[in-house]
Amino acid sequence: MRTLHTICFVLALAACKSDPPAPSPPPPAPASAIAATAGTPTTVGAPGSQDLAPLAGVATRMHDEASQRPHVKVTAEAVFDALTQRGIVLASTKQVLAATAAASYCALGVTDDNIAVAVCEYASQAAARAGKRLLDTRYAKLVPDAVRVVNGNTLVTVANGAHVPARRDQVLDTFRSL
Amino acid sequence: MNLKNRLLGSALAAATVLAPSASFASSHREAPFITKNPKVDGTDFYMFNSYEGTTRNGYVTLLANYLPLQDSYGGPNYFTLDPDAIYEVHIDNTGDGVEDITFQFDFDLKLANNNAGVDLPIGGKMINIPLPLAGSLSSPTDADQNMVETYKVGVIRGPRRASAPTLITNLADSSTTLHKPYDNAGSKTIANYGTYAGQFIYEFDMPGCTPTGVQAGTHARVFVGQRREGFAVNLGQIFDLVNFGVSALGVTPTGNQADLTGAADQNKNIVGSKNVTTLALEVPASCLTKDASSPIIAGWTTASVRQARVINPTASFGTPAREGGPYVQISRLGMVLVNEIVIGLKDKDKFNGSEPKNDGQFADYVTNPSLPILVEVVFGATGALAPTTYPRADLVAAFLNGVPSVNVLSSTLFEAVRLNTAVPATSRATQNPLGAATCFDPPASNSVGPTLNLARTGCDPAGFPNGRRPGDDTVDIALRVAMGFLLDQNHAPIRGAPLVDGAYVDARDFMTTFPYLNTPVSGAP
Repeated sequence: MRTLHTICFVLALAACKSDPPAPSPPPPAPASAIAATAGTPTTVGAPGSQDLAPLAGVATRMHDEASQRPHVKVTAEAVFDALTQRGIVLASTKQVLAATAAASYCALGVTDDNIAVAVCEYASQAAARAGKRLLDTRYAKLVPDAVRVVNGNTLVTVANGAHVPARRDQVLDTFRSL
Repeated sequence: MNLKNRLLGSALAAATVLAPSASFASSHREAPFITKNPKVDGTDFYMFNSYEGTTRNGYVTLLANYLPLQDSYGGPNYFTLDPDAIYEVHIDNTGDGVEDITFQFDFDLKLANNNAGVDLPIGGKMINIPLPLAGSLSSPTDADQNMVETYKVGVIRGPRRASAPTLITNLADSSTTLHKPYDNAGSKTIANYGTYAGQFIYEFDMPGCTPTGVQAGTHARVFVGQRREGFAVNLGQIFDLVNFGVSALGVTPTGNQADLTGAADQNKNIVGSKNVTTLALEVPASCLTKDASSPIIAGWTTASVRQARVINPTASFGTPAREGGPYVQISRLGMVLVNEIVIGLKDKDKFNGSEPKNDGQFADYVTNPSLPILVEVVFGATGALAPTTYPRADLVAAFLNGVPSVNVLSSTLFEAVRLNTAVPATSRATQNPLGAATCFDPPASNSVGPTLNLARTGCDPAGFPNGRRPGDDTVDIALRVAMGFLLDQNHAPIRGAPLVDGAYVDARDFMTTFPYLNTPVSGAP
């Protein structure tokens, strides 16, 4: 029963087609937190952990991820804003589970031509690179056409763009320019 | 027990008043109210062209499972069905969402010696024994059985409460009373359970039907009894927020997590050691279809209880409570997993009390499903997208209308298992657990839809969603269809991902003959 309530809560989160105004990025994370998100499985419940066994608490986990965002130069909101300014229409944006990418915080935007733009924030550039390696290797079967780029502490995954390669490249170029 | 007094109108009204939170299921404990009524909790419904062999060509097998997650050691009372409920299997052969034929099972539970039970002389007094048995069992009418469960099966044509049922007759003794085997308590109680249970398969001729297309001298069959759970599902991880291992999808799973895109068989079937109670029928297809030119049928199972129950403060075996009023449906099951992962929680009990003809009220759950979005929230960081096209016409076809060119019965949308009885059965040895889902080429666009291609390697048109067989891996099929298997790549970016729940099943896991589902797990091997 509790699990089902949690599902409803998660779905309610997922149903938000546009995120509320982004919270201000918190101050830089302490060194211990940075170490904890450096790419290896960590403490259950901590942002960046890959140990997702207690998935029944995914809503809580996403709340924690949103409230413990690292200080990064290129935030998810900044990426989405930049895309919009360049005429790329985002049909939806929403927070998604960052732990899947061993990240501290992730958001997913979908363009009007159905390109997935997943933006994940990490506590360090090393962690972001580790996150890219993780996704490139472990999730290759699920999203075989994904293209991933690291910029500072931020990793962007662009997928389902093969049908509009020019637009896909425009998304990646925009991210690189930030 | 009581095959009479069924008034449809008042029953439905009562359902609204007394069962505001009932449930339906292809499912185990899927709705809040049904968890209070395990004896009438329908868990799975199978309907397929019999594949036992040539002598059973032309027959359709119907299996309705109830009373889920039985632990085999659950004595001394084990798992009797509810004598105050009715269990039904419905067939619609006209496509209007209203049953045209209903098989109604009505159970009775009695003690030996006219409900007095078996007494033993203890210290000069006759003392009633505390157990359902006084010795080992070997036959349906064994004198050592202290508690006896029997049933009658009635056939109703037209709406299920509009007329009285015509009882089927056991051809062996002309009796309308049939026996249900004792549950598999252990090898000392029943030395060879398979042989013992086989004696409870009864032959009958379908009332009001002269069958065609079946071998001369063969008859319809019925069996009710405990069976080993046949549904393979990684139930725990599904309800752990679809936790097929978040590290799955190509990741080496940690702990007990399944790999969602890994091998089909990861030994994750956590219900395989449980038992269920099966209501099994095998009936000539020609007795179920409208006519020879209309071979498609739709089927589902329901269970109903009396509207009112008053607990007897001085309970006896025969009257622990008084039940009365019209029957109210509180369990419904057609297509697998619909009430578990499609219908919203607030409507699960409502669904269980509903009839297919009124399924329009649940359409949004199918056209705008939540499961794919949940998967997207969990895996969105990888770039994985849920299907983006709404309404999901592909799911409407798969769950509410039948698959074009295969088993569309009518244009009316309702949830049921649909079977084209004209599609020849696939032998047990050559069945594909991915069933008819293997018979489609990817669609070029959503407006075209998937193309039926019977020449595809592994194509098995006699399987799910054209009916459902025990060996169909419906969880994997449903997962892939939910994530857009029937859509084009642009609208369903991960449509081609070989998603699995890690609980494998195929036809070779089951018996070769009716009732197909395996001998139950023994309580004391």
